[in-house]
Amino acid sequence: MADQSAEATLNYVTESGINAIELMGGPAESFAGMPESTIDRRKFYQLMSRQRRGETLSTDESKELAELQKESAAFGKLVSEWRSKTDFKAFEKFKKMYKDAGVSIYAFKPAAFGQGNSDAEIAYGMKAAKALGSSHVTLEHPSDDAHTQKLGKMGERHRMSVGYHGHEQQTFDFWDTALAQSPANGLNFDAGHYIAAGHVDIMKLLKKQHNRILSMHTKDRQTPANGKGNLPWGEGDTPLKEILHLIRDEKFRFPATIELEYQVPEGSDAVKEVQNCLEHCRKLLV
Amino acid sequence: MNNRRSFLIKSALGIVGAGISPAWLQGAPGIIRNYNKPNSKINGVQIGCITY
Repeated sequence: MADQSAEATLNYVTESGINAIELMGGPAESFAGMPESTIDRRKFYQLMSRQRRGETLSTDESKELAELQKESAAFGKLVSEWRSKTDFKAFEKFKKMYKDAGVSIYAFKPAAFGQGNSDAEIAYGMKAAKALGSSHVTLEHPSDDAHTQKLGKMGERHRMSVGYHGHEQQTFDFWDTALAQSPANGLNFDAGHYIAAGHVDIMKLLKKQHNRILSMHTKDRQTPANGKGNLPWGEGDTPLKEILHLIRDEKFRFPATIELEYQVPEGSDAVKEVQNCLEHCRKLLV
Repeated sequence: MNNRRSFLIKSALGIVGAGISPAWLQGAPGIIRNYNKPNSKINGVQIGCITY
């Protein structure tokens, strides 16, 4: 959705009928006064990913990418400085605004936990999560044992759990090292991507790791044999019914997070589609 | 004016005041506190969403 302000985001959430969220950094950090980026992120990521794929960029494109990288580094420094002086009362105010509307924030995902972020920024992200009332922060699994070790230890110090998200690189034992490193480390599992990766042991994984799953991204993807599509719920191969029944029947405590990744149909919008996903869950669970 | 009419007026004003003061609702039963608020916990399963 275009407007990512705190107020607009809250409206999308309540209109969707949702009362608990994994919050991206943007709405809360902009509410707290973080400087806004003027970088053309779309262009930046496009050029970066083409370069990563080994494509040859034209001279102009290479020049543009270098300029964008310079701008991005400067903005990163600005953000880092702002974060070092943040007043966490703004995050408490944000939490109250959401709570008054009936919405709790169980996870916070600012871009503050990467290998490129300082310890001060990581600590900031954890303190902000605490002020928002979150039980955990989330980030992409860094595939870097030293970093998961550091985040786990910092999580212990700040009493904040750290959920590692995965895509199709997820395997049954993907999180084992991080889990062994610290009790603060956990899973921000992605059920849909796990199916698209071709695994057939998702129920076994949920039963084994439920105590360490902090939250689970939920979507309906197809198996590799069926094309790995990301489809409206009920049309893919993710065993949503079995998963939700297992959580219900075994009284697992982690939330199932709707992550809208399928193509929003013509004439619809993200709010309507999240409503549809929620209704699908309701039909499966009632 | 300390009669039944005055009591009713004061009570009504109190209720109006309470309506604009969410803190008043903090001690109220859940059904009142949660009126008109979303609820995506279904049969013990918390359904949430990620915001973007």
